[in-house]
Amino acid sequence: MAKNDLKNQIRRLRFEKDEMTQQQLADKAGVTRQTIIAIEAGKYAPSLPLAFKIARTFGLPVEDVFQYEDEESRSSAAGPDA
Amino acid sequence: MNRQQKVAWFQLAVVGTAAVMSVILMAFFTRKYAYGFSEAWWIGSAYPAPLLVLTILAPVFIRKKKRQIDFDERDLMIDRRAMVIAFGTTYAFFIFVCFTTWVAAGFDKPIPAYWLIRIVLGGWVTSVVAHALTTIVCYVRGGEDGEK
Repeated sequence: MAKNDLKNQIRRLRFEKDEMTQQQLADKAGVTRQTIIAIEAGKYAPSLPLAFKIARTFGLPVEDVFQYEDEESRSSAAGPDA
Repeated sequence: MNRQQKVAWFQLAVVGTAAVMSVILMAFFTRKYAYGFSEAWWIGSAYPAPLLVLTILAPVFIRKKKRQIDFDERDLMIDRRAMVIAFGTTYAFFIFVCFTTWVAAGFDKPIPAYWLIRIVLGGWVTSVVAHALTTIVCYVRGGEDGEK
């Protein structure tokens, strides 16, 4: 079975959005700050509703905030010679 | 540290204190009154047992702060996982203790009814400890406390 990974751009987007703190993002998304920390660190994959809430907080589509990567997409991104 | 972690640590502290008190009382009764192990264990564990009620009251002592979001989908997931592991551990404990009791009492001898209290109390403690430990471990694995 392919190894899956959910990447996210939350940290970068927070700083681009007037250096929003984790607590501010947590309050807007309706979760705890610890959950934001875990998502940012890639240790917790959020549910779809929460992923949409976070994306809406930044005013972006969900795929701009979260990227799903498995072995297949990684190998195709590396090119045919990889 | 969130409320769930505080409750888990509180429960572990209560169970730990009760366990230490039991050992001290067992040693005391064994030396002072020359009780056998079984009697000393029974009396030594009976006195700190009411202390374990505090594990149920932990959420009352550690209250939710007003207007603070302290429980979300991740907390729910961790709590469910902790409950499943606690149930599994307690089930395994009961199976193990039932067989041990049967062997200890003798295969063809009756088992005293008061042993049931010990088994139930032990099961409860096992359940509380397994739930608290799983909660703590899951939170530690699920993200370090980084930015303040």
